[in-house]
Amino acid sequence: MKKCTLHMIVNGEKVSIEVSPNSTLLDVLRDKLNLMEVKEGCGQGDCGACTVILDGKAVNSCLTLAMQAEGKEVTTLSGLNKSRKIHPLQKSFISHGAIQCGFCTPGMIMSAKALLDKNPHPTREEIKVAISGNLCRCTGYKKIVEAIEAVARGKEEKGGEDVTA
Amino acid sequence: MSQLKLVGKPAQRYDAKDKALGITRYGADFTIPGMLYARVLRSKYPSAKILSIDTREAERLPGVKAVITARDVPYNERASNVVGQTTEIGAIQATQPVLAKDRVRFLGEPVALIAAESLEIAERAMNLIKIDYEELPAVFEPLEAMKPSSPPVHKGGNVLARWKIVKGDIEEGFKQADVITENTYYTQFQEHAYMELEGGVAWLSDDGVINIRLTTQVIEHYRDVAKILGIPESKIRVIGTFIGGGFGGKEDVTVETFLALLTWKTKKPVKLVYTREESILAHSKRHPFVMRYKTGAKKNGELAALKAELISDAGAYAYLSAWVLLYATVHASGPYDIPNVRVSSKTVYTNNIFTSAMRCFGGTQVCFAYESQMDELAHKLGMDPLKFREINYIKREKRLPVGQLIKSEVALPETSSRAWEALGGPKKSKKGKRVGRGFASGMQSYGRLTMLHDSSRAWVGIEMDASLVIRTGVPDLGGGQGSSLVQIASEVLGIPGKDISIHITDSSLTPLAGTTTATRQLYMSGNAVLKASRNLREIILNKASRMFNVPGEELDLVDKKVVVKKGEREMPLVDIVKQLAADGIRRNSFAMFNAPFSEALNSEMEQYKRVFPDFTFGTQAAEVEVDEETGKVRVTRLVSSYDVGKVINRNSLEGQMEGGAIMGMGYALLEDIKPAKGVIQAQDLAQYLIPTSLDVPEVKTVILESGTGLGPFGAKGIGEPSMTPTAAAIANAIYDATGVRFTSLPITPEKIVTALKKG
Amino acid sequence: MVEFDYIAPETMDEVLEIISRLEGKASLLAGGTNLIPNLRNNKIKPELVVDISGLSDFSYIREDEEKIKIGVLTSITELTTSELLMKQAKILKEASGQFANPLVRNKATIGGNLADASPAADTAVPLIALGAKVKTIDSAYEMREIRIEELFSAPNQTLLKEDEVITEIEFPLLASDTGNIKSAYEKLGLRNAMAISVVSVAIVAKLRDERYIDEVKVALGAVAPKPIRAQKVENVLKGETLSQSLIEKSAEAVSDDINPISDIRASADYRRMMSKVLLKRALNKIDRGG
Repeated sequence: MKKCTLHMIVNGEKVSIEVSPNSTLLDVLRDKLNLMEVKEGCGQGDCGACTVILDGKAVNSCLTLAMQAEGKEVTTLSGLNKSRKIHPLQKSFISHGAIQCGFCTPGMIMSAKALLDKNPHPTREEIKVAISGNLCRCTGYKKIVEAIEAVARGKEEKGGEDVTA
Repeated sequence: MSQLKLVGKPAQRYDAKDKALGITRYGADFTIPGMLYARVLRSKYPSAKILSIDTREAERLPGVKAVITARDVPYNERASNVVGQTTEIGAIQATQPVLAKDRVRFLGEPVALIAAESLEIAERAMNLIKIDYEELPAVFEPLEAMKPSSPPVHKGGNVLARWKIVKGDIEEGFKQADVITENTYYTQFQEHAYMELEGGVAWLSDDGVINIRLTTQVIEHYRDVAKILGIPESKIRVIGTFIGGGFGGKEDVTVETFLALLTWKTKKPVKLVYTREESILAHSKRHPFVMRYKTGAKKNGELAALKAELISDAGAYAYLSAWVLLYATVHASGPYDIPNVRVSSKTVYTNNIFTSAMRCFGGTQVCFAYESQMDELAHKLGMDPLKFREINYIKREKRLPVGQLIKSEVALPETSSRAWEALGGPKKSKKGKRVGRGFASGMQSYGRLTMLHDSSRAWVGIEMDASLVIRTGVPDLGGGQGSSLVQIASEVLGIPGKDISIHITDSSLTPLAGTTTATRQLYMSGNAVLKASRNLREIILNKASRMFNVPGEELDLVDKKVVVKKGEREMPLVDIVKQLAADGIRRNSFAMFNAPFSEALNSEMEQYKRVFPDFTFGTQAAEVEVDEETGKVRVTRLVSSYDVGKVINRNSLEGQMEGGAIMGMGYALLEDIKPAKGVIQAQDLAQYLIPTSLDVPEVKTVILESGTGLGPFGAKGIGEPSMTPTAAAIANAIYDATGVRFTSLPITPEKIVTALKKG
Repeated sequence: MVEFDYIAPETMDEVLEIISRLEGKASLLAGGTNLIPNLRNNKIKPELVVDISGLSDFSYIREDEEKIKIGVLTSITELTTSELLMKQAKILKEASGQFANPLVRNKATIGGNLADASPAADTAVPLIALGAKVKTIDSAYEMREIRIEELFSAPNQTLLKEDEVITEIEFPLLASDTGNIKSAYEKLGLRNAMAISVVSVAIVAKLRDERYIDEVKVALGAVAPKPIRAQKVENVLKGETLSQSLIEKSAEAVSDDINPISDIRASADYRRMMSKVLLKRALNKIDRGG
């Protein structure tokens, strides 16, 4: 197994690292780049906990070989806080009580982000479709859908407070 | 206390922001430089003799640092049927090996542990371990396993435990009944399917303590670990992480003993995280039950008699099966006042995966049975099911068949009528679809069995700047256990939540608070924090009363100030704190809260006084749309209505009620591990189906507050009760839609189509 | 996860050269949604994974020479958003919309779904009804066309040679929903997302005088070792006038076309019943105008 060199942009920063060809993007984000907010819930695309945005599309990072990100842009949850501000989706998840155990939250927010980037004013049904690859066992989804809808309706103020506040 | 300021509001949870930002670290998210990676080798057979284990080749593989089998474990036996308690109850003795030595009893039983420099090496080593098995006869059906001719799973027969409750004269009761209904109900194995897999890291620190940081509902398992290693309990420290869901599946020991053994042997940090497939093989499931019920009522609607025989599948090892069965037995007649009751129950060993705790702990299986019976009786009597139940709901100050007096409010007439009202009027059926509506009421204990002499502890201390620290060993499952405690302390001490830090779930540094199970943390640790906070309040107000020269009752703590209630004077809390410090008076309080205690139970439970601290009562109503041709059910509306005693955090409460109902919906319609001769067929989340965002209705919650619970400010527990009656409500709605009474869960499209075809 | 080497060729020529050289020891990686779980679960053990996902020339949906042509690497998401498919192959768009979940749809490709050859392959069923073919090329630059229903040999096996790859999927323009051509798709899964089909049915019919069936293609998924074309049903329908009794008759005939198994999702009996139900639903949709 020959090691490969991977170049990608992760959360706005250029990354160049050596990886095993059989590493998934999930492995590399967690083990090499310490982006622990990318969760592993099943390892084979059945739960959505590892969702990241790859060149604008929400994907399961466990179903992506790391080398497939060569030359691409990857955004993980912490990438939403580069400006040190809380993202409106994060704020809305907090205020709507959409977070219980929080394990599905990073993936869920990334799916929601990818949806709103393409379709800023989705219907409730479109929101449910967009997160249908992200399993949640705690909430019954209601408050998650409400949290996303509030952002889409502009009910959540845009400029978030500082993440360290 | 005067008007509540914070309690009851939809407060923002202190843990929510870190979770939203992805900062929270779960079991798998810790790494330690130089750590080893572990894997567990598991049995491939449901029942077999181990003839030999050869680990030599695995040990020779470069990078392998330890291979551990049964003979390397200092004390290879542990009791799995007691969890995190200190009281010896003795009722049932059951132990199991940490690693199988000469016999495996279920597919997935741990046989060997490996630690290596990388996960890949550990995996390769796993394949190099040679085990010679000789398959043995196995048994997979509890009814079959009870027969003397069946292969014994353990010495001494396959019936692990039995319970019996007798009230009145059952034969006489049925003679008085005008209508009788009789049926046998079957439920399936349910998988917890929490999103976070079991995992953690362990390391040895300079003081000779083995530290284990993992995701667990029970940090008190450090005692089991110590016993297995043969070292003092004080030398094991368990640090819990925020838990990515547990639902009872992280109540039993998971990775902690394995991590400790490998760290103890290698003296190096070790990490072990299960895969999803391994998680499904490695942890318990909800017990399948076979429940034979017979219930009789008089023409006027009064219940006359109820007889239930319950048999549950304990799987291959005892774990909590005896206690789950006890819960089921006590809850078997539901929240009804019935003069003549007889419940008898058995839990039986098989070579299936072991079964143990899961949300509702035996309460939802029997609720499916008794609420199906109640619905059937109402129809037989030609009575409105709501009215029929109203006649029979047990009332406050009445006794359950087991003898326990119900001391809190039973608001079922209100929860039921409110749930039914909130469901809304009947929807029109579309062509090919049959719409039906139904409901079910449930009762579920909160707090552990009183014979366990349960207790919790908390420490609350004020800093020099009047910020507050809480220490309590509460594991936070995701239900907001920690957050509600902050809210309670904040309410009592008038210190805003943002100035309060809470340290939880550490067996060495936080006072032990007991398990996050049995819907007990708000009740138990809520009371411990409340007690400690009130003590501290008293200390502060005593001092302030001297400084102001007014009686303590006229003072209040508001927003980090001491105010004279009439409003004319106030003083920053900081000043009082400084004075306390100067005078050498303590600025903290440690409190212990004990649940009511009772004696250990015998299997014959006639006239027992108390089994549980108290119960939560509620009702769920469902509207379903059944596709006549495919049998597919869509739950179009789901209402959850409970008397929660007192709302502490409205967001957290609604979250439990919504999530519990959806888990109940999955149980009713979708979920099943489908074991075939001991092999779990639903081996991953593509095969084990939990509801997605496109499968669920938006659960409507109706919240009542009687203020009569045993928790802080009169709160009751809601974690488990929120799921208890869902399956029954959906089954009753499907009956309304189709005219068919389904008696086995899950109610799959295939079962529906087959039944409709029979007409 | 098994161990393998990785290469991402930039041209199809390179791909063909590599897979020819490795003689079956290479696996092609497109979306990865099947391949990566198979690698993770040690179901396949290739020496080399050949990543073709970067061959952007092979991702397109276009109209050309009276045909709809879809590049082998076109993602399922692209199928769900295509205006052209909306007009020309609504059932393919519909099936794509019910495929797995949005995250998987973003990665999975039409070619990958076909090459995986699942008996329940979601795109194969509408494609069979649309009369689609795959175009392939091998290392000797031999090209051939294989009708979708003939592509599969057994569960998870195709007729493709070790050095042969699919390049394009094509079907005739005006295959559906234009003028007198009507189509319908029905899928039954146990969940409403992330559901493997229990049964799926697709029909494309060419009607004359509103109800007379000139031509018809019927396909079913998850009821045989591979996605199938239902010839017996077609024979019943072809040259007849659509009516309730004809629909009933064709539903009876479907039992002879299928050979379902019992698995974790459903019994063979249930699949037999549902094949009839879904077929009738699809035909009724066509009767109502597709």
